[in-house]
Amino acid sequence: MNDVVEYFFIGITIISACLVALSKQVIHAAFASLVTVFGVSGLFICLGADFLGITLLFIYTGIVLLLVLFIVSLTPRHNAISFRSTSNQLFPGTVVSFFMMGLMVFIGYHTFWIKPANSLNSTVTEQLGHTFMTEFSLPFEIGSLILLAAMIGAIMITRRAS
Amino acid sequence: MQSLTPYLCTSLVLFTLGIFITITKKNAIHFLLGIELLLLASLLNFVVFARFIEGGVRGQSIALLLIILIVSETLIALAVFVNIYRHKKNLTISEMDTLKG
Repeated sequence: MNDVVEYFFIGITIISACLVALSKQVIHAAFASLVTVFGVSGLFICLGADFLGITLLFIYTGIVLLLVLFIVSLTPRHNAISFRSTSNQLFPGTVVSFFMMGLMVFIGYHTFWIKPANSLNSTVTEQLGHTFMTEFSLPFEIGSLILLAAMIGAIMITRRAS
Repeated sequence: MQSLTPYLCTSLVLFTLGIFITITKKNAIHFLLGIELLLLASLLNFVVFARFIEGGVRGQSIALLLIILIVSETLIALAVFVNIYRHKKNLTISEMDTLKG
């Protein structure tokens, strides 16, 4: 049963990612990306990272909806052509991406993975909180600083010069 | 399931499609969606290795910090795109070739 759920989420993720890559209109790609995020957060929950899955769902859904809103608001009403997303360099792009894929498959098959550890405890969220307060406190503070700087920077960039 | 191979294959497919999008697409917002696919693949790798190799919660912590980075990056990129759109009235990447807008 668990395997069925996981393969279901894997299928959702891969199919919608292909839709993101192949769709001709940006807004279709944005909604397919929403489904990709849903699949990946389902995989996170299957992997025992429930807090991370919910966080990813909330934040990424916010981001993608924001992107869709930007697409709609940045498109001129009289000219629907900037909804379209055309491709260039199709052949070298395909070659490079499949080369990277082959490289990573090679690395993955020639790496000796350590024996899988036991499964996590059920209190992952509590462990995450402890980790952020003890071992990862400096990256946590740096992350909040980065968020503050990004917010101020985005406000300053988009501000209309008065 | 007790193997990490299907998860790694999933993140591999996501990464490949992300590279494909960032190379081939002309629209800047589509490009940004490709970058999000790339970062999603790396997030999935972190969580998978935290589950199957490490067995602890450090990988998930790093994934949370990565989510913070993704949010900041998307925010800044959208702000830059808004400014570029004000100057050039389109969002084609190959036309963003002047430094002073």
